[in-house]
Amino acid sequence: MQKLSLFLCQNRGSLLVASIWVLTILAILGTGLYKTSSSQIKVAKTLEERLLSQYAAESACEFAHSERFNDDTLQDTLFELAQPYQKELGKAEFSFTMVDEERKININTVPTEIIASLPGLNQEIAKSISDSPLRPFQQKEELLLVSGMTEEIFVKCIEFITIYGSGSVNINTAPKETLAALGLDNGLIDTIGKFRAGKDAQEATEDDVVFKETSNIINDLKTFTDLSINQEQTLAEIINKGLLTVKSENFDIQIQTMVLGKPVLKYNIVLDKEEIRQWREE
Amino acid sequence: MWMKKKNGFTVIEILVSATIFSIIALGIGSTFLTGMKIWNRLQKDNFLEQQIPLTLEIIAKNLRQSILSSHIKFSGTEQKISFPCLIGKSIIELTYKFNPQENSIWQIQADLKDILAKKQTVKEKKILSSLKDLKISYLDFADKKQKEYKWKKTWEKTESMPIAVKFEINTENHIYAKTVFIPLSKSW
Repeated sequence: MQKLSLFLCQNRGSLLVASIWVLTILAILGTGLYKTSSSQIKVAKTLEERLLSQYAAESACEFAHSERFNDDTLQDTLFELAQPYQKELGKAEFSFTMVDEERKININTVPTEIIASLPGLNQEIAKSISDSPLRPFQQKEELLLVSGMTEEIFVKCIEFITIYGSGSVNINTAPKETLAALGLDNGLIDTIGKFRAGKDAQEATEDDVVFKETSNIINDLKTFTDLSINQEQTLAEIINKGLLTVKSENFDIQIQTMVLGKPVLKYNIVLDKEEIRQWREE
Repeated sequence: MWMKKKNGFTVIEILVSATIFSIIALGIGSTFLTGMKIWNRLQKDNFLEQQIPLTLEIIAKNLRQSILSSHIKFSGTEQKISFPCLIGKSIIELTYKFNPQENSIWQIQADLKDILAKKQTVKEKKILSSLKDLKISYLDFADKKQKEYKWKKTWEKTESMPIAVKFEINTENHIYAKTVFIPLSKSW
């Protein structure tokens, strides 16, 4: 025993060297294994997140559908629509905001002049849009296949274009550009804006006012302020053509899903009372 | 006293040190070998094992985003599925096809722009290989009012989409299955 301990004493470094060797080899092996398995863990995590996100998005749709269509007062102000919703479902959670599709011009139903007065478009492109063999369009992106249409124009006008709905524009939610495309003059658009804004003169706030009946739009505006004869006539004409409404039936829902507090996917879904019309994931 | 005379090792010293080192070496060696074995297996098997679920997820994503189009039909057989789909801003006819000679799955993209212009330009890509078989089936209403469903081997309806599509991929050792529900076929 004494012999051995003395032997070790004289070669003190040898054990250290040996253990360092063992440690190094084990460390290399360990990192290698960790690398392989960590990529697997990552894959599994991504797949799990995507699966959960899918179901979260589907329940967001259900939620939005019941929220919208169990509500009998379908005349929504911008404020009501823009309300963000959020819900937690175990590990996953979703949040979404809504806009209606009726605030945009339906290029499948409206006449050429209206299409031509949309931002970015002109008479020529509008004509090739309404004469296109692709019409009725089933996707907005089909517009890019129309002759004369470029990516630049598409980006400009896409905000004001829809392919869903009956073709009537909702006067309660439509932006200036859409109303202008319908042929309303600036004074009238301002009046409508002021009417909708309510007391605080700001749109998308709690005290927003809605037009309740399509047939009452002119009367509502008249009690609010004076209309010129010309303005009244154009408005009556547009209403007679069925281009204005006070309700929306198609909603564009922007969903963000999260898993364990981390954002996973964005969805862009259009639905109406009966069906899901569009499903896009990012 | 023997310390002064020491010029080398005794037999016992050599035996002891040899034993200790052989034990250590054995330990290191066997750990190393198992490590290598695991490593190799992970590299070989898991490449496919990782690749298949990921590819299926990509297919599922495209399938969920399939759109209605009067120019491109949704059609399918047991080893091939073809549907309209939006990729970026272009409308694409997307086809997934099993090639039994190569045992691989191919993805074929044809742009609606080229289809309308009657051009035959397609982009082909091999997305999975060393498989044994692929089977696709389609869920349809057997009776819409009664809410009864039925799995079909082919899809030929021109105007509608299946409720769900099931993919079954067989490899040497495993079967991977994934069912994709198509949101557009949902109705309230």
